[in-house]
Amino acid sequence: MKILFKILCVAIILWSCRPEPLDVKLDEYEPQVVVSSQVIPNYLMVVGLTRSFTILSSAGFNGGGGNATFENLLIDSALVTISSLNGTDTLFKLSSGLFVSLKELAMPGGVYNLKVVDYGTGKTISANSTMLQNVPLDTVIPSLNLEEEEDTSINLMISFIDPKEIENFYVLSVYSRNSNTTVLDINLFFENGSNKLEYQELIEDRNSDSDTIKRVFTLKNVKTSDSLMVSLSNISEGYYSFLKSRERSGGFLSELTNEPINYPTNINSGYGYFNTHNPSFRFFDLKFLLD
Amino acid sequence: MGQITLDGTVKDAISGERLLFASVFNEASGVGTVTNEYGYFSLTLPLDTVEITINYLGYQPKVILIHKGNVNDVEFNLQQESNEVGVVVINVKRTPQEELHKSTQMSAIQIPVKDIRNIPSIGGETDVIKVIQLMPGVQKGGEGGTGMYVRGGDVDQNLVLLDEAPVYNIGHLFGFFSVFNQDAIKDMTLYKGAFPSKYGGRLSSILDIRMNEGNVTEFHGKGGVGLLSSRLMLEGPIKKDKGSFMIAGRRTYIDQVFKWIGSLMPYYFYDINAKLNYEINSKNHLYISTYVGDDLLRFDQSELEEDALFNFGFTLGNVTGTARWNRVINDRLFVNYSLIYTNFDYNITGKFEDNSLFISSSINDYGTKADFEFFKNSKHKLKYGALAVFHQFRPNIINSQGDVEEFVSTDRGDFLGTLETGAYFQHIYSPDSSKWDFRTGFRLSGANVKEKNYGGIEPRLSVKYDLDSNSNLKFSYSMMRQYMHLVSSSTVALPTDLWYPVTNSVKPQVSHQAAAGYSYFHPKLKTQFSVETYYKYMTNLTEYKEGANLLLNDDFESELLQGNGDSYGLEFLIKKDLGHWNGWIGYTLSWSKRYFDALNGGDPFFAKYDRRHNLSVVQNLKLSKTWSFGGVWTFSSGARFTPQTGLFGMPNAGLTGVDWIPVYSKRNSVSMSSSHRLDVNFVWKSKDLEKFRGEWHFGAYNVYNRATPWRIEVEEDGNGGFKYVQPGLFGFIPSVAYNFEF
Repeated sequence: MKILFKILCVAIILWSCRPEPLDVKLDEYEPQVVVSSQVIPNYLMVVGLTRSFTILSSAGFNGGGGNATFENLLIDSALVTISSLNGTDTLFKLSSGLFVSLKELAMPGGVYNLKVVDYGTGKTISANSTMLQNVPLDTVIPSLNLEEEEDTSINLMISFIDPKEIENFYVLSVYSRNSNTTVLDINLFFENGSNKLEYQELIEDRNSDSDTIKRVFTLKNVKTSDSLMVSLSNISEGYYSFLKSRERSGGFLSELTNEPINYPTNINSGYGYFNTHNPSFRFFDLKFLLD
Repeated sequence: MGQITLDGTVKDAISGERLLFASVFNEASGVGTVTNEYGYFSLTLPLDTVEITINYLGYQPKVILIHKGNVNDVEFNLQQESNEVGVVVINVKRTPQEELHKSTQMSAIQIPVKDIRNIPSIGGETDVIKVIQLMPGVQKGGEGGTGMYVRGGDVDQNLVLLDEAPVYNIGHLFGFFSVFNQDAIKDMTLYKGAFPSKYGGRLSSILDIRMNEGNVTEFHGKGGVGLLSSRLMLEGPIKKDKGSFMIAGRRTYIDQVFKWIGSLMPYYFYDINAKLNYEINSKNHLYISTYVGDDLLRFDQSELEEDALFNFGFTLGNVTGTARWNRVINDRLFVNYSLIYTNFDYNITGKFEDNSLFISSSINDYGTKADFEFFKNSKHKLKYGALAVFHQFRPNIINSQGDVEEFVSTDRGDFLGTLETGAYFQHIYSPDSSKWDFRTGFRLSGANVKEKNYGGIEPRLSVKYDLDSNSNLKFSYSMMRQYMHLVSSSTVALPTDLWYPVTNSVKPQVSHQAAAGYSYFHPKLKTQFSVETYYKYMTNLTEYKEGANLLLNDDFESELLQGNGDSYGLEFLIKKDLGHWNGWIGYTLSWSKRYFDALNGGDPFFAKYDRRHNLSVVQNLKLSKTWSFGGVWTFSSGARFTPQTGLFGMPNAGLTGVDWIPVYSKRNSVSMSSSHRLDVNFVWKSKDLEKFRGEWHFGAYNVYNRATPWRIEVEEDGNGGFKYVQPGLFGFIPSVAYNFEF
């Protein structure tokens, strides 16, 4: 204690000689529209819209905020359209910040143009995305490791066929949901947000010589009452870069030591990413593995 | 008509130290030469009888008459003019700055270390690197740091040589103090462009520092006691008039002060410079010099609490060693052979209960070189030579035990070796009665890394045209190649910088620099006015991908990007070397840009230390017989920064919550506020005793306590809102030091 006090005294003496910081004015920050999107079965598009905000705010100063902060940023009133060769679809508002298409999107290969007019700020943004070929999961083989009564882990072997004609990028995810009932439906799986991401990997096929890409990994801390969903999406290189940026910038140490990073975006005059990748799913219930 | 050839050395009459770049010339014709880095010269003149003047700043000039015939192995011993602090009497024929003005060399600064002792610095510690940073064309990095950004280059583009051995890390305490002890240093020359052919390996600058040799006649010492560190240098003969030694040490003692008061501050740094020199005969001379220095942090909790199980340690430092043999082959041919060793490493150790962690990185150089100088006659001088250096890199050796191994696994680390070679040729042609002087040459350089060979020719050209006896125009062109780079995060200034070689995929950096200038030297005031403009284009510069994590990352290559850059500017210098009032004013107007397809959305961006304006006013003034004053006022445009301006939220990968993602400005798009600062130093010379002299230095850094911004932060504005601010690091810091000589 005495030592700490002495060190503190020296630090205070030295610190008191520090000069007053200089003020600086930067250009006023203009909030931008932030886009996230997801194709859900069957080929319906969900678009999430929020606004960015200045760091010169309580939430900005604190590095973000809780759900309440996020809810305040949701765009409540906007014109959201998706255009393609098949015409233009105006999305309807499912809830604040969430817009969904009424029509199914066309088959893979189509180019889709998103346009958003934010009535709150008058800003307009746009983005293009090409829907890539769906790459289905070939094999998903779980096997159970029962180590202790309550402590369960499973091994998962996953494989899929990688089309070799073009360079492909994938995101492979495994989610768990704890439920007493079997949940084998994508819409129900994420209901109430009681699911958890157990594993995610970004894959680029230039690192693989084989036609089949295989992954084997172990999931720990899953419960025998869990349901699992394995999802594979064939994504664009741009969206791959976007997800890679998120992966590289996560965590305290990353924030401290990494180079500053502005996430790539395909949104003109906005942030986030408009993607039209179409995932394939497999569901299984761990309870059945015990049988 | 007969010819006179005169060769020999110029020395200090008392200490026997060889004087570098001393003038040896015939005043009537203006033809002459300067001593080389070893105090040797050779001069051939087509005259029967000549009067030769030998002079050096701070010494009484010597005039001799030479009759027809050769005079070989002559030794000129010059007497010092004055021992008064900060005063150099105007009785010298030519100053080193005047010699530079009259030569084809441009874009260079030559600084005898004894001229800088009054210049104020942080904590009263005279720092040779901080003085270099006051010169036009040299930008400093963060406040108080030893980083040098020369003509828009990066910090790893400077080759710092100490008696020919590269020094990879030139800073103690995160770069706040340089590793160079002023008492051990004799002379330093900085080349910003117009590089002589013998130098290569870095794009932006060569800083050639020479150590003192030691007094060959009698035993002497000097030192100083300051608030932060103390130093002592001892020198003397090992055989009178034949050989001498010099040893100098410096250490901070903050840790000892804290220990004495029963507290703990487990950090200190030290330097040791040592040199032996021996004159075998008039034609052969041997030198052995070495430097050892370290930063050490050692915290052992058991010193505070018995049975405590935590300790942590960190060491970072350099070792250099040079063995040199000077040989005068004949009265016109001089050669120096060198064997060179350099080591830079850092080690981190930590132990907590059953966990232990050891991290180490190092670079070792083993080199040899031969440099020949052929003084054909007064019109032609040739230099040529060759070198080979083997660089051994061991980055990120990790040994971990216990639970920590799950996060940081043991890794033997890579062993990387690079063989770098070079050969050069240079011709200085100074026709009699001509207004033109030419220096042409080239350097062949190469590096072998695994199965890959890099290399090529690097042309060098310098031209001088005399407008009249006092003014001239100069032009130069240099091409340089660099075969290693520094891996360093720009967001956190960790002292764990790693040097890394070129590889199969990471190509050597290359620069092309052209410069033009006008120089005027007032012969009576001994004051130079010069203006230079330059343009430098650089390729294969290295930067890191956005989001790159360099900490303990062995796979640097995957994080590296290569691109281009250019810089251009205008430099002004007024420098007065002599008199009761002397000093210089330097001003630089410059731009420095980078072009990387994968950064900043492919748009060009400014380099981090692109500071538009840079002004330094450095003045020494003799106030009275015992008092003198040294002052420095600097003004600098702000460094560049990439501040965070906003945030946005997106669903996290698990779709269970929100990730808050920062938004930054365009890279280096914001220029921080300009900074200006006044540092002063008053010197009081205490009464001389028979064999002891002392002087007190009373100084202050940042007299009017103004912040020099080093980053942009957000803080509350006191009215419920928030604002951007730019904090500074150091405010007003007084200092007192005592320097002595015996």
